[in-house]
Amino acid sequence: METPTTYLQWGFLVISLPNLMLILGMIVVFVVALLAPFPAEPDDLDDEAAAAGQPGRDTGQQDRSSGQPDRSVGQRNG
Amino acid sequence: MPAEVSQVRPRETRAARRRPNWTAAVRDRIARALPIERLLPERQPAYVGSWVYVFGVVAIASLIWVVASGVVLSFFGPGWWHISRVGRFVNSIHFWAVQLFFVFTVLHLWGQYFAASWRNGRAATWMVGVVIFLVSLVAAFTGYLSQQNLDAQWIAVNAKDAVNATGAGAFFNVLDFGQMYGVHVMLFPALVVTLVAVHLILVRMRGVVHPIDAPPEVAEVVEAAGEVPGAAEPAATAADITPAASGPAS
Repeated sequence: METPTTYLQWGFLVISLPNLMLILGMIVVFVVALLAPFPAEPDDLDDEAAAAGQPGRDTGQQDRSSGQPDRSVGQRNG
Repeated sequence: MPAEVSQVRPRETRAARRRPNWTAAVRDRIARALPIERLLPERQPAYVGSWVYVFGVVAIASLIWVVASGVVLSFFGPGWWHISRVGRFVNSIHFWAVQLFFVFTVLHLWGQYFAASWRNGRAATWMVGVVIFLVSLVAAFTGYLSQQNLDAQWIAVNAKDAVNATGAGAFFNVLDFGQMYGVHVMLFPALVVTLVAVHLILVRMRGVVHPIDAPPEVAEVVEAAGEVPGAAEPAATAADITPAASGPAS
């Protein structure tokens, strides 16, 4: 606790190891949030599929769980 | 005869004869800009169903913990939060809630930046969010200065020259504990909470921005619902809708 932390230096860039770990962790969380499936209620998916004029629940599930908002809207309406 | 005339007088006529006043004007404007259906919507666009949209909610949850633990700390004071075991625990909650607040605020900022969420009349929402982030930085800085320990003294002594160089040192003295503690527990919490409230209201008024490559018909529906307050309910008109319970807007 009282010992100084480790610092990493690359040219003129200097960063402490804890700060670097935090930034890398945030990047990981951001990427996971983009890719991880988002939980949805089956009834919601039915409503969504019906509203979009698509018969299949699986398609809606795929759209919702992809974590890709752009693709999901495009598929439902394209 | 006069009594009969008054009975058949249309209500619209009486309303038209009502003297205009600012209370009614403000009320009508609020009702038009933010109807209750939009303030507390039941459904959200489908693209909100992503973990990216949870970052803002987590940041707000962290802010609630920051404020709650800060209120407790302000009641008992530095002696309590440095010596008492419970005080140190609450102090730690305050500290780590701040860390979470900044982590998720930055993640939320990343998400909105890459979505270009200032599009289609949402510049104010974006700018208020950026201001929240900047004000929060100063709030956290005054928090470090309010710890009442060697760490706080070290930060204050090292920061004074930088602050003085900006010219702000004349009225923002980082070596003045009373001033730093005062603005930390009163001014900045009120400022951050107020700005967050404005940010949320703007999100409700304008809605969540549609994806960049959304088909034109989707964009038109969503934008029409957001740009004409009260003209249409976004959830009822857009085809890409899902219940809000599965995707919090942020």
